[in-house]
Amino acid sequence: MTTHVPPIDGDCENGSMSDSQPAPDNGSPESPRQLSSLDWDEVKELGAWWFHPLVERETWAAAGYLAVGLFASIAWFVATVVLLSVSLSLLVIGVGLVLCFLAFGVIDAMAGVERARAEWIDVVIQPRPVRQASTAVDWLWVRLVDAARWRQVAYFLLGIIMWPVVFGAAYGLFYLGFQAVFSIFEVNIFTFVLQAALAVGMLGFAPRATVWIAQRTAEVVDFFLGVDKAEQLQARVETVETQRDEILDAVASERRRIERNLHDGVQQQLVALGIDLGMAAQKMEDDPEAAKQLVDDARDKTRASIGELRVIGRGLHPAILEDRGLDAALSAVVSNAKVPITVDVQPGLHLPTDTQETAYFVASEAVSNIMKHSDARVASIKIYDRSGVLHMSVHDDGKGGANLTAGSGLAGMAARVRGVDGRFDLYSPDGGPTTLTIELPHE
Amino acid sequence: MSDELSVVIAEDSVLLRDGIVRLLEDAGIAVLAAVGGADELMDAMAEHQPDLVVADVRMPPTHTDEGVRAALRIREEYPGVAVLVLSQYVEERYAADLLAGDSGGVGYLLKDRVVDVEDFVASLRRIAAGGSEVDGEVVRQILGRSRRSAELDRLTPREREVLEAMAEGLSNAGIAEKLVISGGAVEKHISNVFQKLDLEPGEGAHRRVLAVLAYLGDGSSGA
Repeated sequence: MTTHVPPIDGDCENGSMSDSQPAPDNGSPESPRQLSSLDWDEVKELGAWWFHPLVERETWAAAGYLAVGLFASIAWFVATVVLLSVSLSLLVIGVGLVLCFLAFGVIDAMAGVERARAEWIDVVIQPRPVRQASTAVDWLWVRLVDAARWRQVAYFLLGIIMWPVVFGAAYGLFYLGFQAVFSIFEVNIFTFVLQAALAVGMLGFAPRATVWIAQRTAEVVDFFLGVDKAEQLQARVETVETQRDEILDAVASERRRIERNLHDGVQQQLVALGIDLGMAAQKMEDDPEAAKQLVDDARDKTRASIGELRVIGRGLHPAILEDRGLDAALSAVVSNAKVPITVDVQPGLHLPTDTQETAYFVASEAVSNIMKHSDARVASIKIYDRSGVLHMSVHDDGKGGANLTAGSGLAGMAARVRGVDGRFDLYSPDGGPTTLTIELPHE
Repeated sequence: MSDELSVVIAEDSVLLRDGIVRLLEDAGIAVLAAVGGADELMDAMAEHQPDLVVADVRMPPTHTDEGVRAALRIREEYPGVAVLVLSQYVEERYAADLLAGDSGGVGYLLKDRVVDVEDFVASLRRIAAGGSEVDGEVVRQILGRSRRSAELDRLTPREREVLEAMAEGLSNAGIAEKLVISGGAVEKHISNVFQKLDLEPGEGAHRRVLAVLAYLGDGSSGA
């Protein structure tokens, strides 16, 4: 041990000194060159970064959005003024009624175009709902008093002011930049520096500013033509509240169902089993033959209880779901079914646990319904994923007539699916067949 | 036995119903009818004249407390018939409903008791003979949440056991047997209990059960 230590120390000192010292010596003549070339790289990089928006799709989409918006705004303004003034003024003689209908239709369509145009710059504007008439009589009145419709009209009237301003701003910045580029050599050396600086500055700044202006413009469009955010949130809260109540109900009825299964099944079996054993104990001495028979009965009941507990346990949480996924878990479910049920799960499916569980429970409930009520001869389960939404359909050729009566297993499943913003559709006319489809978003 | 006991059974689980029938027949008790629901039970009552009815609490159609309600109707319409209600859960409220009447011949037991075949048959005979029986679990539940804990604390552990046994409906002889003490000792403990709790000694086992349960259940009035 002690003999090894000094050599190691020596190696370290010698090695590190000899390795590290020559390196800076060799490198020092090269370092100024390296520094300057590095600088040049940095300048190139900086330049590329500063000017790259000039060749970005985003920039020219924004510029196009503003330019087309300018011309469109003129057309929209003229169309709005003409349509409304003509149709409203002709209302008194009746023909305006028809024109009003047309006018509002055209304005709705124009709003649709404006919303769609915002997608050029990747802004999605959800349409603000406009009221639709329910009867022929109130169709005009509904349109005349709808604030959302007049908001559209306001947009098209104010657009004639907004669009020239926003387009002018973007155009002005580009104009300054290109103007400077073309006039660099027309002037003397002193203004050359100024012009060059202006050209360099503007050609980097104008694209960025244009994108920014276009985005803000789209926000204004959204304000007029998009959904009311507060209203949307309000609606969302109401939906979520309903979903929450439904889920709580579903949980409660689920617990009731589990209790019923335990109470009606295993608990009674165990008491009956206890009776057998109690009687067997009594008879052990006097009538061993009868006692043996009772013990045999007790064993059969134990077996049945174990089976029943297994079913209940699987119903609470199928362990195989976590280990092997939906395909394996559902295969286990249908293997106990009395009619052939095919399971077709898209291979390589990776799902979050809760999505997987929901799909599993809906499928199990559907299968148990098929067994209990449908008289089906054959059934199938199909599961696949499309862009973050899990689709599942359960089909059987039975007698149909399934429905979502409150408190039923299916109603609980529907609540569960809707609770995660999924879709639950049950198609089951009397006489069959029955198809249950669900969609579960999971991303 | 010359006076053979006859019963009608109402229990919706076929398995358990068959088990009870077998058990009772084995013990020399005549099973006149075994039905699966409260309505069928009332039909069977119209047809037969049993000494005793054994009914499950939860039966079709609603699976809630049909058994208790049917038992109360039977006590009203057939005063001579004793009733034993079997329950999967301890529900003191059911016991209170069943015992509310003035006469004995009522029992409220957990289903588990059926397993102790001899004890169960003995309970059955006591109830048929006019006794009242409340499951020990129910009594313990009532004791556990009784607001009289301060007064109950004055009892010795042995007196507490005697109190529980009284609430379950045991006679003095039954208490002596259960606690393995002499009849004289039981009487002494009982009089101590009544004295310490300031209870009126009732006449007969049923009255005594009522008195004790009322005392335990009612925390507001002073005995």
